[in-house]
Amino acid sequence: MRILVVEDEHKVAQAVRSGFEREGYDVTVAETGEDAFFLAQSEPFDLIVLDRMLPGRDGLQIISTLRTRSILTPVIMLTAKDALPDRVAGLDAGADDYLVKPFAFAELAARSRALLRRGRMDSSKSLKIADVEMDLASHRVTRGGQVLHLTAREFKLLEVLLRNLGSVVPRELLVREVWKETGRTDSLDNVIDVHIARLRKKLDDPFPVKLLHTVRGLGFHLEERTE
Amino acid sequence: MRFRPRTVRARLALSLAATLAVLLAAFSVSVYATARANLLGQVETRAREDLALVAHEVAEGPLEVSQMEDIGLVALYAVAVGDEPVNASSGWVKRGLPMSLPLANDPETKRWKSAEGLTYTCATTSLDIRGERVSIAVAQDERHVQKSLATLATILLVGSPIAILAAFLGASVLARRLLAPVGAMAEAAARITEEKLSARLPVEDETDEFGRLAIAFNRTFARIESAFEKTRRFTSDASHELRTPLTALRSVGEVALRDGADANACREAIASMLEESDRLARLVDGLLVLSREDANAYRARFAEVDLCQPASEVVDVLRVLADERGQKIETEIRPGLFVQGDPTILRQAVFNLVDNAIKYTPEGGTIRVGVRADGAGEALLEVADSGPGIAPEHREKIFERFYRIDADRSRASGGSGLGLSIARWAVGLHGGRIELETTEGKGSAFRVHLPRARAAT
Repeated sequence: MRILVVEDEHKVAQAVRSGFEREGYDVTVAETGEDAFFLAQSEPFDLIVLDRMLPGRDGLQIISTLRTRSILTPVIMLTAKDALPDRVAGLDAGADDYLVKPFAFAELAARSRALLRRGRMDSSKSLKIADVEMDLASHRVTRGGQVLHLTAREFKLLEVLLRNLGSVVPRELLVREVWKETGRTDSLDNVIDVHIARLRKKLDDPFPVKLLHTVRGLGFHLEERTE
Repeated sequence: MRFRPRTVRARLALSLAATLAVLLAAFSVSVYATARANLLGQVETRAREDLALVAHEVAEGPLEVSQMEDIGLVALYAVAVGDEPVNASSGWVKRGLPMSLPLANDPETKRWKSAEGLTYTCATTSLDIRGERVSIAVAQDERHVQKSLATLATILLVGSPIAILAAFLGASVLARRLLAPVGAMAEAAARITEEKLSARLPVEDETDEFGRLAIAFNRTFARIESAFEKTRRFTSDASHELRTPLTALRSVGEVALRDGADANACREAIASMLEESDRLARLVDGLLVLSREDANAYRARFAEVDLCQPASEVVDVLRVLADERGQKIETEIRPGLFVQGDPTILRQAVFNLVDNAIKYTPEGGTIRVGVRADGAGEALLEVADSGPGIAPEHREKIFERFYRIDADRSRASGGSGLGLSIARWAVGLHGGRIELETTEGKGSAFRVHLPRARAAT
């Protein structure tokens, strides 16, 4: 999988590059609009991560020109502007997703996975980790054959964690996927913590192998770990 | 280009003087004309009387009135038979008045100019006396009349400019005195600068026009001063709020970089730094929301929203927090109250109010969330709690950005200090208002009134 990262702020570009590389992607970084435009046209990429404000050529311009030339590579736009009209302009120009700076890399990784997955229908009817099994059709979760009684919110929470196995799920992603909130000013941190605690109580407390772990400052992930 | 004096004072005085000049000119002309007509009329009357007297004498006496003496008081007369001058008074001859007299059946008057350049009013007539055609003429010297008229003209011509000049000067002085407060106000206003906004314009008399003007200006200055003051305080508050997480970031990083910090301590430090950066990001987002002035961009996206929707959703999300604290959330949310609005922003407002209520209500308390129509038919959303209430001195200020009743406690509970400000901003954006009713020791109720999208059915 090849990802083109277009970002003029060197530190951010390098952090994003090493983050993606660690996840096993092949990353190319362009630091100006011209370079980005040239690369996107001449080489095939699976995903473009595009900064909105660039020297040389504006991110919006790049994306609309690419789209008019039928280059339909999925684009995630990064921006420091959070005003609604900006968001709309970005999506109108042809961006597939929109991420406001500062962002958690885990969030960018999760959204990239979602975009790369798109098109390939996720046909699995059940999700699994260790002895936990989630049946999406019947909304049943079992661990070691034992049924866990989860509320709708807890179910959704566990589902998002299961879909992102192998990586840390940031709070922002949970807010968007589980609580369907778009704004960031109201902190759902406390709400998330309560739900995680309750989920952990049902999922992990009765069992010796702990699955749900908190990574402070980053988010949550599922992993088999004996404590 | 038209001439236009620079000061109001000069313009006022000049226009007054000009008006007066026109009036005086018209007045002078009419006075002079009337006086002249009157005086000459009198002379004419006298001439006719003299003519009658002389005619009588001539008819009675011999035609050849040889004596060239005055007849009564009449000093200037002449008599002619046919075209032949017969007799004339010595005055007549001496003054060089014409000796050939015109024939006229009826008495008529004329004005003659003598060889000496004097003007006379003459009355002439022709009579048939004993078969002879006799012409008689008398003259009245106009000298004294001309003299009077000349005096009058002099008075008018000299007096008018003096009057005009006096008026100009008087108006000038008066205008200067009247307009003095304006100059003083301009000077005082010039002294009111960004650094010295507390200064005010002098008010001499509260009831006159200038006083009212000064008072109106002073009110404007007061508003500007308070706006400046708010901005200044906000800037200092905001930099304080931003500096706190930045300081934490820096010091945690410094400690972690010291020699001897093991990998675990470093991980711990980085995690803590990430938390602080999250807090900063949230703070900046909140400030961005509040600083946005393009309310129209939002209104363009307004749609009809059933107020019960954001209310139930928020209660649904936040109920777990209340559960954790042993609090009860009671709801009385009626559907069907539609408002024009942006669902996300409305939800944000409700979220902040309910979140706030949960935070400041002690464990085991009760929070009530209600949606209904208020007395005036507007949509009402009420968030009431059984908390400690809000002391009077805080009631207005809790809506201000970063205002905290108990700074340490609310920062620890994760508040950005912007929640209620954002709620008020959001409600204002929808044309509504927030009311606060609070009793110390018993609880508070925030009531949001919003105009309804359509008439109640």
